[in-house]
Amino acid sequence: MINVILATHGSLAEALLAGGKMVYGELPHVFPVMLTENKGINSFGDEFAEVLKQAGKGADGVLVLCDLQSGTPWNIACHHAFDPQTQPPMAVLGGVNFPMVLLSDEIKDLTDVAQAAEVLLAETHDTLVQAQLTETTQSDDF
Amino acid sequence: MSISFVRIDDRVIHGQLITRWAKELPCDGIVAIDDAVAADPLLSSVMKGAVQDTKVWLFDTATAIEKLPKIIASEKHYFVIGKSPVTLKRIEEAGISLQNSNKKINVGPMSARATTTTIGPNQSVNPEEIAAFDYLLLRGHQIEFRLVPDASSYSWQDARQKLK
Repeated sequence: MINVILATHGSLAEALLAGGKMVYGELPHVFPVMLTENKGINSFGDEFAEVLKQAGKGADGVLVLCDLQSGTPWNIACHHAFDPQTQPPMAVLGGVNFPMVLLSDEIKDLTDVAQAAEVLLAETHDTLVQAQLTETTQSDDF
Repeated sequence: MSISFVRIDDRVIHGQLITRWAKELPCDGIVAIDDAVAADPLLSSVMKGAVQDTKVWLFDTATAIEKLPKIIASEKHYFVIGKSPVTLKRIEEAGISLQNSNKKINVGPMSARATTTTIGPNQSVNPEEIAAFDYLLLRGHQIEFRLVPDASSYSWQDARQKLK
């Protein structure tokens, strides 16, 4: 079982989770944590550690989805992820989007967090697309 | 029997969700049925692009009634999605059975509207839809409200209790 932390600037993490619940009803494996202007970096670090503790309970791994590579949520997530003492093992991805949050539902039953990260990243790549009209004639070749 | 999945979803074809179900059940193509969407060529075209590499047909109810026998007779496995239980009721009233290899009618999102009662997460029904679900139940269908394959679910009988 892989649990997922959404670590973002502003209220993005909570908003992504709220949107996800609209589509999937529930996403109990997803834990949001946010860096906000009034709370600051230190308090975010404490909160992240607390959320990580919750997300790690009973999980084989914790996958952190950050909004921005090398932003504060990313830096703090990496600090935990690359600490050899950290249990369960973690992986960190940058550039979280809405499909990535939804697709995380499909990797939550894996046990290897590195593999979960790889699968989720590959699937999310396909979600960045430009809208195009498809042909409208319908054939009867059922 | 070539229908592998029957779903009610008021978004009709919701890319991410239908992709999710297609990972669980055999899907060679998707037949979506709604009068308003089928009457709007632009929206139809946009919705057909929702699923990569899977053939999508969008029919109004009358065309669906005409085409479904051929679809059901096919060797391939098709998903049938109606925007509303009322659409599925009209199809069964026309003598077409929506019995399928998934053994139930799945119900996804049904948004809250003016005369609806909420029965679950993002699932609300109005009196006409209630009557349609009752009809489908009487026709021997198991009706399961479940947004995605792993999510919790409840039956129409469960929902009926809340409506009393």
